[in-house]
Amino acid sequence: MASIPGTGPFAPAAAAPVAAPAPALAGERVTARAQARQRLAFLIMLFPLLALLILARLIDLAVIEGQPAGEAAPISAAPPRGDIVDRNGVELARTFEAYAITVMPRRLTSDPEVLATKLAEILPERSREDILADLTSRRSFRYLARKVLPGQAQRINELGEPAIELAREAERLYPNMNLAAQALGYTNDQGKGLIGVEKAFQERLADPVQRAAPLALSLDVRVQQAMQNELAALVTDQNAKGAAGVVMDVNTGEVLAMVSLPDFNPNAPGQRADGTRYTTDNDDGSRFNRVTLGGYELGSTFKAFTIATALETGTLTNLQKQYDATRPLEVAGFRIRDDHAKNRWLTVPEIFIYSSNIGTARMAIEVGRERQRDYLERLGFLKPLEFELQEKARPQYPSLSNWGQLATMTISYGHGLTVTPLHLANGYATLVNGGLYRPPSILKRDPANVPPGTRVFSERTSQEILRLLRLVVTNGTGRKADVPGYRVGGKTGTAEKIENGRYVRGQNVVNFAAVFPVDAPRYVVVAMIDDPRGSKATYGFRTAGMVVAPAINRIIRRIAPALGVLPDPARDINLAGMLPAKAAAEE
Amino acid sequence: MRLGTRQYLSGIFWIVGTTAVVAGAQVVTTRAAAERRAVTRLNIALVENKVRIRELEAELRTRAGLPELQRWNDAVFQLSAPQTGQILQSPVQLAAYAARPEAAAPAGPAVRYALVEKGTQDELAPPPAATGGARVVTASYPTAMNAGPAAAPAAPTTSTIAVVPLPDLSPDLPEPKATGPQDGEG
Repeated sequence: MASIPGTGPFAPAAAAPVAAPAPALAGERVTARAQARQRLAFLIMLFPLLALLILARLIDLAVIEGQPAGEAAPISAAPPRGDIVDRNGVELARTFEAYAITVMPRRLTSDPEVLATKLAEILPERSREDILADLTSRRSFRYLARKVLPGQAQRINELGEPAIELAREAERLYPNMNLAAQALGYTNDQGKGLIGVEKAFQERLADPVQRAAPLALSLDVRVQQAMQNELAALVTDQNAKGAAGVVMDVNTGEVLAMVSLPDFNPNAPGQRADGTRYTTDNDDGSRFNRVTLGGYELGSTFKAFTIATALETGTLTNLQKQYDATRPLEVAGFRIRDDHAKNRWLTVPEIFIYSSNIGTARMAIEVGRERQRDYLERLGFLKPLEFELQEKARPQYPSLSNWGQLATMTISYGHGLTVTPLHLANGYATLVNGGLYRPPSILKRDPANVPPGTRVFSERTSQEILRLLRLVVTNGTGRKADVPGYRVGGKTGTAEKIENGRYVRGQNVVNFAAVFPVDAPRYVVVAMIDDPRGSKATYGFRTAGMVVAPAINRIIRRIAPALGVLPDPARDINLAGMLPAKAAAEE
Repeated sequence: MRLGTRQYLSGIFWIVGTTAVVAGAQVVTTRAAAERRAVTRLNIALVENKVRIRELEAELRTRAGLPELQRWNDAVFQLSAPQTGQILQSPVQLAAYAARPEAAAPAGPAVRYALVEKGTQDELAPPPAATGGARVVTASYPTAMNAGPAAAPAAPTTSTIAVVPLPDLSPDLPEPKATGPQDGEG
């Protein structure tokens, strides 16, 4: 498009004619036409551009902003982290949005002294001095409080301090406080599980798809509460260092209760019961799960496994077979003796009810090292349990080269081999459920999908062990565990405590493994007390029969009705012929 | 009608028709958008309510948690687990509690003499075994283990090992007695 230089639309003003309008020249007409064409072309280009803009906006409205609400930004009541419930749907852990009060000290507009006083009135759990220290901190950001109630948050908001902010953040709540604390575990500030179920099922609980449905555990809060309460009372009475307890369904392997004392409040896992914070120096081990992580020599409760192995391998064909328990056994410089020495030959039921170490050791010699080890292996005693929680102890036992005759004898009555209380409970479940080993589980199992299990003992052996266990409660060391009508069987165990690889004189670990009802076994109850000191209630005794058996009695009395086991004084297992007349007369 | 007029009217018709269609579509679109917003608001309200319900449930569970109930029981109620005799075995046993009015009349005070004579009321109380009999059925394996070498596994059998009383269901004895050994024995 041609134009005359100096006469275009952008020509300097000085170049324009100043004088009166001159007659239109032919060149000016051409120029005006060119300008009109330029403007027309500009408009022609502008309209498609506008159309494109409108189209883009329409696409934006229809495609991007017009998406259904559920697909674009999920509006959902699903918690940020999955709930945890017990086998009956009772909440054990849940997440909800709570208020966190934060402050940016450098931006404070009011007097920190006055503000600290007002905040301390609203937040009674914090002292004024603590709050003042946060308000005058040189850091840019401090938490004043977390998990604050809505009412408190509103009062703080009404203070009108712009440097204080109320943030909504996901908080994990454990409504039952210390109940099953070690089993449930807790999470950190970022919502990541650190121990227990929270850690073991971190992916499941945090998964956006799966977290809408709660994670159902096998625990029963009623059973858990009963056991935790009874064991806590026992620990206090005995001034003991701790306790552990398990209740397990023998037919499914589900763990209904898992108690470890001392315990802690998972809502404030860094805080001790007295309000002080844990440090590396003052950790009392309350976050340590003794049930799965504590390795103990469990003493005479192991004798049941020795007898079952002898029955199963055929070295014991008759329960009336007698073993020499007339005097202590001297082996390799060690002396094996009986706590309740009868100093005579004993039948197998007598060995069991009098808890004869000598008789059991002689039985184990007949079984032999290889078969003993084989059955312990099949019972899962020589490896960490197949269990969901990650806090699992590895059993301690002699190497094959050191597993000689002495080890065979001592292991037969529960010395020289450390296992966890959960190992013991699962072993007893295997003994009494007909002989099937199933890995224990803390997840609720569908009755139709219970693992079939691996056979370790025959039904016949299982029945014989049940009769022996009942005999201990009716005639032996476990009499105080007997609850009329519930047909309780069980075995006591007392062993010296091991610390730093050495036996500690005068400190015992006492335990009791019970099963009920013995005529149709459903539940195993294992309780262990760490270093009982004796009390008036136990007449100063510190044995399992005096300390733990009464607690087992109370626990079964409390949990059996809840579990649907009704007392029936008209039913019992047949114990006829188990004890010779002489032994029965001694009773 | 002239061609020009027809074209003119046709143009007007198209303009009016198009405007009407556009206006109608706009109304539908507006109403759909309004409905959608209402549904979204409802969904948000539902979610908010669910979240609120969760918060209230959490508070309720915390306040009525088992440890809290245990503390209440220890401090105030002091209830204990039921004894064996307190748990009924059958509806028949429950019916035994429905005593006749005369049986429910309060008994007079027991008169006790300073000199104890043989055959006082306490001593004459019939032992439980004398009130009736019922078989105790046990499920167990035969006792071959006790008698001889190991035999092949046998099926469980039942046997009668004792005779214990059944509760007397007569109206004069409304409370059935526990027949097993009492707690704390042995």
